[in-house]
Amino acid sequence: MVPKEEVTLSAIRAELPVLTIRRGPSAMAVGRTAARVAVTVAVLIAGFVVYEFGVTSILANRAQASLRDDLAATAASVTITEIPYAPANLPPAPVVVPADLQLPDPIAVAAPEGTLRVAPTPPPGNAVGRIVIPSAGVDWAFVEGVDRDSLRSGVGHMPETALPGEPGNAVISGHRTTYGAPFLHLDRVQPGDLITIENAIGTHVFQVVEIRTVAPTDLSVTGQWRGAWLTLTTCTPVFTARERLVVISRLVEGPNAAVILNGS
Amino acid sequence: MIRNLYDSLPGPATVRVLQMLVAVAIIAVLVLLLYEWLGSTLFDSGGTVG
Repeated sequence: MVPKEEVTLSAIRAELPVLTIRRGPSAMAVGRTAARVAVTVAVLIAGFVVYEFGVTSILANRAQASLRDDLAATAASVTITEIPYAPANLPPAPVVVPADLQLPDPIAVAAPEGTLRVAPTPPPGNAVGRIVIPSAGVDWAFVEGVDRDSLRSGVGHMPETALPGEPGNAVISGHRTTYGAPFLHLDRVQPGDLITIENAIGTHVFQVVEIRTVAPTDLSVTGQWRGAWLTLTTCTPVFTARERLVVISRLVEGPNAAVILNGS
Repeated sequence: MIRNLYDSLPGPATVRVLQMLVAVAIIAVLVLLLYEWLGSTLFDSGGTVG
């Protein structure tokens, strides 16, 4: 008789293959991670909006207060020179002035006939003057330079272009939606509207003659032209940097208006 | 997550807190640079031409 083999439960367990169940992450863990990612992204987006439309405006407004003080100090100390006016050999402006545009008569107030009032160009980042556009709600001080740092104060004068009120084309660029959005309503400007620039030379009045939209790389609007011009540029459409809204105006009144308009 | 990061840092509590502050400062600067770049690229470059 074959002896009966004693089988224990532990022996059976020892002979069984080890079975490992690999579980993936539970639905709850996936949901928790997704929620964390969503919250992080939402916080980053909210921070971006607050920074772009809140913090940058605060920075620009603080810079403006400082620039206005600088302008007052500069006006008292800057040296204005009067030089004989000789029309530069510049091409005519590629602008078609509307026939129905009535121009005020230019008046010469500070400079004798045939002389031009000029001032030294301020160093980059320093205050140049103040720009006022009633039809667009603009009243901002502007600095020399259009690099990122200079434009933190809102509006800047493009180097290598004429200073406003001097012969040539003065180009001024400004933010449309951030850093105080100085040029937010520049699209409200119409031909015939007036733009006033106050700088070391005096107060200059420009009349808008053309508004156009160009590519950001279109340098045709920053060229130097015969006469005295002011070109404003900003981003368009609003909330994008896709194109540039360009407002071209010509000098009609100011210390140098008569001599430039009569001589060009 | 922040607690896990804190616990994984070496050194005593003071050193860990300092390490966390440095990490937060670096992340804040990187986020601000990202905001600047995104803002000027997407929204508003300042209207410059050229």
